[in-house]
Amino acid sequence: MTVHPGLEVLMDEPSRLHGKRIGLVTNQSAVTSNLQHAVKLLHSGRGWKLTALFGPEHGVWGEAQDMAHVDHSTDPLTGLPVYSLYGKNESDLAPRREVLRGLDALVIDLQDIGSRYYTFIYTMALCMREAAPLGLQVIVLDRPNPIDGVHIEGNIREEQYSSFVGMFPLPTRHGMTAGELARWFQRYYECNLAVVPMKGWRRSMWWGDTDLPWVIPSPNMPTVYTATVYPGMCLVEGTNLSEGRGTTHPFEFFGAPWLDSFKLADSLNHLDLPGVRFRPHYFLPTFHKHANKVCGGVELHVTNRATFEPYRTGLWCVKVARDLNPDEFKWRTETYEFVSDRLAIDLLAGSAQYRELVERGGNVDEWVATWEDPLTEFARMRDEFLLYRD
Amino acid sequence: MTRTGLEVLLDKHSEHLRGKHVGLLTNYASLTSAFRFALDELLERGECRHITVFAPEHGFWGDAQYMATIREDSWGQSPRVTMLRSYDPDNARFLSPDPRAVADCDVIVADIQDTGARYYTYAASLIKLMGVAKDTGVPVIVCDRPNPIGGVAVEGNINFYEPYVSFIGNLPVPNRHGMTIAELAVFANQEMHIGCELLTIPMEGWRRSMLWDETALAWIPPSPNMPSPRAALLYPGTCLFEATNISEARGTTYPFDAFGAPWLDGFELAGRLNELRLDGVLFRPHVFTPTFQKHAKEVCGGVWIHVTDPVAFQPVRAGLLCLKVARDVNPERYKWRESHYEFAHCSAIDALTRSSRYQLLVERGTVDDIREWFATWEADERAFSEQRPRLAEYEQPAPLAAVARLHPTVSTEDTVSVEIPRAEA
Repeated sequence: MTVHPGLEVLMDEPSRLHGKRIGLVTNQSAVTSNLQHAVKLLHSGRGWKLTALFGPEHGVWGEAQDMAHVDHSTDPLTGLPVYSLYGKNESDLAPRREVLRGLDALVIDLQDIGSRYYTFIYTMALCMREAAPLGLQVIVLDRPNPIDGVHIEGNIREEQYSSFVGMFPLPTRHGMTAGELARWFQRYYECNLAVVPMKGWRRSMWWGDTDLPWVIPSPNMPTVYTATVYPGMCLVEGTNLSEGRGTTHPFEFFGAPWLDSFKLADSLNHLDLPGVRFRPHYFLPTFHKHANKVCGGVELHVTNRATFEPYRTGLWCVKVARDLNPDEFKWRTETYEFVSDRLAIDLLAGSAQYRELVERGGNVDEWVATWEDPLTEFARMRDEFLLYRD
Repeated sequence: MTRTGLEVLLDKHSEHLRGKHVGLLTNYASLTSAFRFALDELLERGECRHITVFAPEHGFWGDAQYMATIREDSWGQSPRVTMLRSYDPDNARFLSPDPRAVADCDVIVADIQDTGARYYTYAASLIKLMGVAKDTGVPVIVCDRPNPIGGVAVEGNINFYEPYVSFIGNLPVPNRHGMTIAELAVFANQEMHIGCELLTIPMEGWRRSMLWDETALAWIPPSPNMPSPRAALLYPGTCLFEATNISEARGTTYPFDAFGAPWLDGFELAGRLNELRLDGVLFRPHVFTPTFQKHAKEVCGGVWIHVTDPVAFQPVRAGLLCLKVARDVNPERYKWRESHYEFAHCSAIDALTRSSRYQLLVERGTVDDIREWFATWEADERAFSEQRPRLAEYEQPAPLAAVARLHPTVSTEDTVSVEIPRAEA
């Protein structure tokens, strides 16, 4: 059975938009099950007026690479003004109040992918924060969590590592939808919030079960397989290893010019991590880190997505690669997602514990064992915000 | 789950391998279901004495130009492996393997993943190797792998005449041939009168009607720009953009899923293409920025091709119409590729389409003229579909589990005792 995203549910019963001036926070993946886009549907609808668009990281139509700031512009389809929510400075991440003042409702339709790092949910949060004092209604149109709503994994982000890759104390793989997260964020911001749930989605569904077309939510998220490994492999961004950007399999490959593919694959396979095998591979990033240099590395092959632990796997990958070549390996020290006073790896891990553990030669699984109680607590906490059961 | 010919060979026919010097046509994507390289498995389980590796286009690791210096000359320092270069983008001599290297082998084993399109060069490499094997008296074993876009549908013209015979099509087959690599080898051995000593090792559990996802095999990109089975299904059509100045989305993470150019308006293009009401496909406006190759770092407008019904979808017709419509939106900016293309003896578009007519139809004709041209292929498509060699193993009905799934009213218990009839060979 096809899942109907919140956008479709809203367009079937659009009376709540009547008489309103609407702003829309969205990008290319906001489509119905037959690929009608939110911008077109809301622009051509009658009884309300779409007056402004807001683009998250990568822009409204997905044209920009990661961490590339996007300027305000005019939308090529509608001629509407497009306000970038991913500008040069951290203060540009939130919509400006003078723009919001001209609106009666702010509709948010963004495809999340189920990892704490992925920035769209924080764009949503900042919209909620700015809308609250104005009394502006925020309408979140829900979409599936492509890697299901059951599995949760990871440590809870610590307060001092709050950033645009972790604004809330979430575990790395949160198992929630954007609509459910909005209901939780509402506790912080108390804005006038309405969530339009999907029809037909159940927590156990992976993307392939929804019968919806995959429209890439960002340039380096080509398939649901990418989303499956992303909760762990995004950690590689916090190092000088390549996360396979500049290839057609970002996040499924990782490596570096100095790494021996065969040694790396053997070391990782010896760990016998559940649901995944590592295959030696050589790849050539065409841009980004180590551009045009042959990198030795591995490809991750998920053999059982139900038992696969993406975050634990990613933590081991970085540690093992570092231990093979400790002299070449470096943590990323450049500014990451607008933060320069803390290391990217700490922001990504939501804690300094992981980096410290790696540096002293500790065992990742000892840290993993400490997550159980906080995760149970998180699961209990999130329950009241959930919109879907199985 | 489908078991590839390689696994069947290792399990049931290892007498062909034990103690032998094997010449192996393979690359990094030839793996077992346990993600072990064919090369390692043949050395260890197959107990081959020595393996000489003949890598196809792109080299063993997928990019000959850059990878040539990396492990192309050795395999983990194993003295039992010789890695040969068998492809050089600048030197046609490398298209055909060195006869002395082939003559040193007791047997040639091919385990290479094809994608089901005539332009994909791995079958051409196999056929060259078969020719040399015939000349040197070495037998050839082809381990079969699925055609990722199925073994039923065939689409396109054949027109196997000079100057259209080239490395991107050295067999008289349509653009989408609906055959497996072993069937192509049988076909070539007969039709091209190669006449080598050929043994095919069919897969187990594969049926002609299967698309890749039904095989339950992991997709290992057989080349760097074939990242998903989704791309493989579109490739018989979107590969045509290689013959133009429109980007086939190389330099993104989804080559062949989308196409576009800096001057194209994706909204208009998607609108025009959706108006054609092609079967099984919808076009969505898409914006992308290639990181390298054509239009590197320029924002391109274009469309993403979403296949909504993979059985009804006709990639070749869709691709030829996409190109025509994209050209018509901005004819003044549109250009055919003029530079050298894959050792072809004619222009790139003529080599890909095996015709000079398409180029003329794009420049001077209408969409309807192109559709009339499609109609001229139909007799060839039907004849080819009936006459192509098909391995009997793949003709059986779908396995029971799939039958039960397709017809949920039939319980599995009721059907378990039913004997599945074998199709006539």
